[in-house]
Amino acid sequence: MFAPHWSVFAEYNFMGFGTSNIQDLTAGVNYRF
Amino acid sequence: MRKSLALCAATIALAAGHAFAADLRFPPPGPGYLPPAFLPPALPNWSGCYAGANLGGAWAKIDEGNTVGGTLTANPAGVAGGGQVGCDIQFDQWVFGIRDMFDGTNLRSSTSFSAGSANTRTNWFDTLTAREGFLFQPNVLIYAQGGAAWTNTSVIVFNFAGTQIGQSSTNNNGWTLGGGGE
Repeated sequence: MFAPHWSVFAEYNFMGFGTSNIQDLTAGVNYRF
Repeated sequence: MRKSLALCAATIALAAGHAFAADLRFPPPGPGYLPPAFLPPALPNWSGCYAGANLGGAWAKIDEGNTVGGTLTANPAGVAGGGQVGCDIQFDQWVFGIRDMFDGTNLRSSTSFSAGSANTRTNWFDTLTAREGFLFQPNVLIYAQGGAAWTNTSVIVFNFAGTQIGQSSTNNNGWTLGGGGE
């Protein structure tokens, strides 16, 4: 969290779909209620 | 002379007033005097729900051999972006949560094979994950996550003359593992 109610994140994900797969490296922001 | 005396009296009265006000603002320490309490800043509370947006890079290995009647593999790379909603609950330095993230992508590729060529496009993916994180600082969470994943891939097949001879749109179910910092 960098400010009240707000946070930033960065993450890596691997998704497997049998013989296919997807990888993503993403960053984002969240607003917390 | 009278004016000087009046001015002198007014100055003394004003100075006495200031001194009295100062005494009221800063009383001398004595029995029963408590200094003002120091209140540290409130620590972040990770329990609760959130919504947000994300943007990043994505790359894929696509195998749609059954769609075109032969071996078709592609390795597109591109951009993925979308939104996410989730909820967390905090126990001391541990945070547990669930989240759904939906991203659209521009993952595209064109592949030649024995009967022609095929364009593949990964239109979107969605992940529903549970995560477990540890607070190394009150406002820094490192986490791992895993769960279910879904994606949609379109394939358009062309013959050697460039005429479209087939297409498909396939939804696939799978799994996901990942991690990050927030």
